Amino acid sequence: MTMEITHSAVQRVSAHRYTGPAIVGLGAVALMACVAIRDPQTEGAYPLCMFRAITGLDCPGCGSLRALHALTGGDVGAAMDQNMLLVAVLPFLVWRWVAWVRSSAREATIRPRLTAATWIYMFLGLVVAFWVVRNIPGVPFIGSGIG
Amino acid sequence: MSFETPPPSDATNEPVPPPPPGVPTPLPVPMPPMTTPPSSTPPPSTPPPPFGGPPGYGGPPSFGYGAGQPPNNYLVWAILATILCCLPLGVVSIVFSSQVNSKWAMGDAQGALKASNNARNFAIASAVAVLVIGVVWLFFAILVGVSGSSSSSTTSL
Repeated sequence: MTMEITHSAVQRVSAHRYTGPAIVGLGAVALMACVAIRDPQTEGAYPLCMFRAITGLDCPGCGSLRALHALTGGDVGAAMDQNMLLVAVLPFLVWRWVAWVRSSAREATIRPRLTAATWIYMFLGLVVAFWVVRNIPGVPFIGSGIG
Repeated sequence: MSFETPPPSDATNEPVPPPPPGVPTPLPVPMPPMTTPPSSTPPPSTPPPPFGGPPGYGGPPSFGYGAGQPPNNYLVWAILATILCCLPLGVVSIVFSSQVNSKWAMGDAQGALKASNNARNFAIASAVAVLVIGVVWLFFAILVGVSGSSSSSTTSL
């Protein structure tokens, strides 16, 4: 292994180091713009969730497009009414994206230090509980806001 | 839900304590009397240490608990698949991404890598399912011309 090889490898990485974060960031902006322009509340604007189409029940993601639409208008309350999980998880996703950009700027990989699996299991339990509770009729605010 | 928690301490990485003062350090083994001229004996070649190399992609750590880098658990992608994709495949992806962490913590590098691959594949499957549904839906929307007018469905995603 010579220094030249290492150097060229670093240069090759640095040329594309922002590709991943850029694609994901632009995709997020495009999704927000699409949802802002084309209101998910209008009938037939987007395909129906397949889980809901088959079962008639809400899945954990039901209402996420309407929640994003509400967020583009700055209405956090309406967004939480549509999909509380999305609003709760959004800061985490933004944080991970920022960490990704920053590690790309340093040309370092994100150090894959793993958190205790208990936290992920707890989050999983939260998702499943959310899934169950939002399908109980009469529970306000947790469901996808429709039907 | 933080990634920044340090991993559990690894017993094999603990520094070797210095010998207590009372115990004499073992003396170096005296050289045996030379039977051959020193120029003809090559120095004993020591094999390179098994650790310290770059982490191999697509393979488990080459040895032991705590060695190498833990595999990606793709938790962010699993969450995105759960929220933005309408099939429950994303939840399965979250299950596998938690298995990455638990199995790695237990020293099961092979199982952690397998769970990592499963977490990624289920997130991809979820995204592909949504893409397929979207394309099919777009096809029929254009075909029938129902875009925003006559669909019976009231909810999206």
